[in-house]
Amino acid sequence: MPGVTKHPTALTYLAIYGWLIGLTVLEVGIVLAGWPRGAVVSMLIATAIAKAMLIALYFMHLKFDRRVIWLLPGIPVAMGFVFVLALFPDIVFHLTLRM
Amino acid sequence: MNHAAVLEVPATGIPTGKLGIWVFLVSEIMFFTGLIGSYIVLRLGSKSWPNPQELLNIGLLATNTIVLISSSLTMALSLDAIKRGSQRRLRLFLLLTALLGSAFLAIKFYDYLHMWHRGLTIASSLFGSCYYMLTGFHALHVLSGVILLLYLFITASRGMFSAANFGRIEYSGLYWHFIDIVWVILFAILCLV
Repeated sequence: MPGVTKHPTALTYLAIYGWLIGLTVLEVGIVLAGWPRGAVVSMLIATAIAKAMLIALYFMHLKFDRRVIWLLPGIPVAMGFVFVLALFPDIVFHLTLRM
Repeated sequence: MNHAAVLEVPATGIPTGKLGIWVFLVSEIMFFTGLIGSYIVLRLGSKSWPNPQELLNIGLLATNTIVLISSSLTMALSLDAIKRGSQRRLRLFLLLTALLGSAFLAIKFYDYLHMWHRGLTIASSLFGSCYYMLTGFHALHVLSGVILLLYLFITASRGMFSAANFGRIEYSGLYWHFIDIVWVILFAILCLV
């Protein structure tokens, strides 16, 4: 098939699956551990990003595709961060008003 | 270079079908980014927010996460199967993916019933509105994916795919894995944090 890039093997898929299951169990463990909230939130966000990256890179083959494809999901994700960050001053302003 | 080849591999070097599904996924990313962004803004702007672990059945939701991740594996294996020319394994993995997707929906439905009986409805609180909106739209995407998978299974049963013709399996897989990514994010920020 023309234009098709190299894809991972079934063994790679199984290895990534193992990592994803392990990270999911770790997430539940983090929640049950009763650590300080700040640490729990940071670790959960980090594990969620790690899982999303593993799926995108290996199951969606982004690691093996042309880099130009990265622009397509990258731009809206970056815009999403900007959207939330742009509203932070408003959130802080409202929270300050209530105090 | 004939006309078909021009359509198959444009100047970007990306097959037209793959570029098309990625452009569609961009619109989906923007849709979910809007919803998740609104949830983050609402949550951070609220003076108090319930602890999700007290309201939700985390064990059930973690099981659902594993079910959806497993469906991503079987979807990836279906692509691997057809690339090796195995029609039987392609059909098996497509069917397994559809079944796992259906299992996810069944568990989600049970979760909704469980929450409903505990008094958490879409109108009961801001958390309830966010939970049902985000997981509801995600479940609709899973349902669309299951219908697509069943269609692919029927077409695969008619021998429509081969080691040289697997574009539709690959592009449908991209959609299915995207649904998985959305759930991975929702599970962490909506159900656990």
